[in-house]
Amino acid sequence: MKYLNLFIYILFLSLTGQIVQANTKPINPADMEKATALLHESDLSRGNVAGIVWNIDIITESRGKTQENGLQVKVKGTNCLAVYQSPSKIKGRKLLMKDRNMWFIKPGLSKPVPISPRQKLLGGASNGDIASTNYAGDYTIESFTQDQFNNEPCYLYELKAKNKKVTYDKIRYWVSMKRKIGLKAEFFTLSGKMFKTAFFEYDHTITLNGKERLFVSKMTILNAMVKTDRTIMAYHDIKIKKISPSSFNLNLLVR
Amino acid sequence: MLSPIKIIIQISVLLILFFCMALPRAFGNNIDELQHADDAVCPYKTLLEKLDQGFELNVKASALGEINGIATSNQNPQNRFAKLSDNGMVFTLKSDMSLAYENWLLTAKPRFSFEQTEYTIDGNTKNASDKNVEIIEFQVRRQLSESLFASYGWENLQWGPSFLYSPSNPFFNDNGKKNPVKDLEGKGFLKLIFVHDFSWSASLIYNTDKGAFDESDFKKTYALKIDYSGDESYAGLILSHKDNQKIKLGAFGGTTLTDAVIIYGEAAIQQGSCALFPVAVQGPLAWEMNAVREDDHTLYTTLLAGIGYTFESGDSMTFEYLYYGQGYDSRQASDFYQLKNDAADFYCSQTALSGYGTLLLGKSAQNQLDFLRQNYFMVQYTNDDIIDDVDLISRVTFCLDDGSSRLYSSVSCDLNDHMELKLAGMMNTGGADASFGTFLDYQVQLAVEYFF
Repeated sequence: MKYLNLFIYILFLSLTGQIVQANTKPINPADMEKATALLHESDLSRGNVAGIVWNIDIITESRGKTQENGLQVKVKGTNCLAVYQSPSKIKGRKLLMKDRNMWFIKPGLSKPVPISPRQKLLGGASNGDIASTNYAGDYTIESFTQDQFNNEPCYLYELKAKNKKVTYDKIRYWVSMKRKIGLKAEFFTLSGKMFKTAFFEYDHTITLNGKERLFVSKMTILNAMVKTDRTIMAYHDIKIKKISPSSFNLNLLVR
Repeated sequence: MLSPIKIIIQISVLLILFFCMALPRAFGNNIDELQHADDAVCPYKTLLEKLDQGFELNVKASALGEINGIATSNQNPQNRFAKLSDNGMVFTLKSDMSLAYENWLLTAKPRFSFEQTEYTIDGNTKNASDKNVEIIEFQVRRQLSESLFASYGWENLQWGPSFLYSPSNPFFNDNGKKNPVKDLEGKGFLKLIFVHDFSWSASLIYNTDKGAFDESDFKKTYALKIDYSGDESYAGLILSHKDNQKIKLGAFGGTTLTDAVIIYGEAAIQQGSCALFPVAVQGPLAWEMNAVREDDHTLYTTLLAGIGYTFESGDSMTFEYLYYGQGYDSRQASDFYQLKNDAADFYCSQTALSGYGTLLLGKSAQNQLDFLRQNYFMVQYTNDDIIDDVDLISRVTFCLDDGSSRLYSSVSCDLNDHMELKLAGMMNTGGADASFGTFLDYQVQLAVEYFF
């Protein structure tokens, strides 16, 4: 019986190894081009456009407590400015992100504070979650396979961070084949541990380059470690507009 | 005599500001386009609606209670010199208001405060109260084009990444990290800011007056600041000139090494030093405090290097090392403590030398040094999650030269969505003849803030 268990274990490991090998075989260039284009399109539905202003209501449920926060967010490329609107005790606090270069500005304190991307300023949501998404630029596609999510045919992407500077080391990302939008994402730490799952809803539409496009309306983040912890981000008042560089200039933001 | 560089900077700033203010249309095309585009979307917008949209008012009431452990010190014998309060209570109504209208931005921070304090001077305790209404900061800013901004106001200008000290800032030596509730007052600044693109910007800054800032020895200062802010790194270069002093060059920079690690540095270099040094003199007076290095050709540097690490939990640790080149070496520090000892004796002697003692103590208290010695190290732990109920900052600053330290800890706790409780404690070790304990042994502050 002992040897049978050992045999089954070795067999399992070998098969797993085969599967991993099958999934990690190089993707041919045509497929890669198609996969990258789809990933880029899905990014456009989550804010990676020329300039965008949106409001986000964040509801954080953690350790049996619920907190609600409101943010106004301006995004242009890798630049993002989040201004806290509510509750009143944190109104006026600002988070300036220039990709991985981040600053926190508190009213009353004239000196901005540099922070690392990992610093939690938003409960269950990472700082990167409130900015526009640029998975196509920040991650390498390791594999993509056909899958389903909620009975909707999807491509399942295995994304690997291009460098250590991004918030998540690895992401499993389900993108709808037909609607070209990301539906679900699982986020992994450097040690390979899954630490949160996100689900996306798209009840908004925007007009981009003359074409109507679905746009994210809600992101629900579940903590993989503490099952009861949940963060809901509801996006509204979305405006696609030109944003000048001065909106992200630290010298002009502190007042 | 005005130096050539000062004349050039002064004339440039004034001319540019004059032309920009006087001829705004020449610069304003982009704003008009944007504004008209907005008007086209919302043609019904009236002046009042625009004003209403652009107006913002945040009101906060704070009650601060403070207990001070006054040090037994030669610098402040029997608390007769500094007259520090043993304990006190300050109630402050703080309103921060701003109005953004078209290409104008007006901001103001009026404060109404009522203060009740208790002093013990020479063993006698007495009470005092004070009411104060003041504007600590305001600004009038005009956007002259999409990339050019001109402003005048009383501001507390701060920049750079460091917690302990910002050597690159020629205007303020207190960066506001010492007190959780107290507002920093502003000085008068005329500024012209040019934003070249998302990465580069330049500022011409002219410190015209001391504004609301309490500064006995105010000197006008001019500065040119160039900023770079990239996707991973940032940097700044500041060239400044203070009246009757030599040019100072400052710089700061930093980068995000990984998702969890940031590193940064700040530096300043200047020829000579206006700091006062203890000088032994012949006769009964024994000591004098003189700016003996004012005309020195030596370059004095101040360097700060820092690293921050954020744990998976979001808590972070910061380490900073400061080298302060102008600070006293061991011999000068020893002379300085001896000078204070002798000055205190003169001050308390009730003789004709008392006045000289007062003069010496005044000079030693304002020796123009931001740090007494040369080498400092700071460790800080921060749990600063905005959404969490409790924030904690703990900081230890060591003077590596004399072994003294300052321990500081503050806890902020959300009582509800409108109220916050703050408790801060500070303790100095090493005694009065060391880097930190000249005036206080400890300080405890308790504050309640209500956000309307």
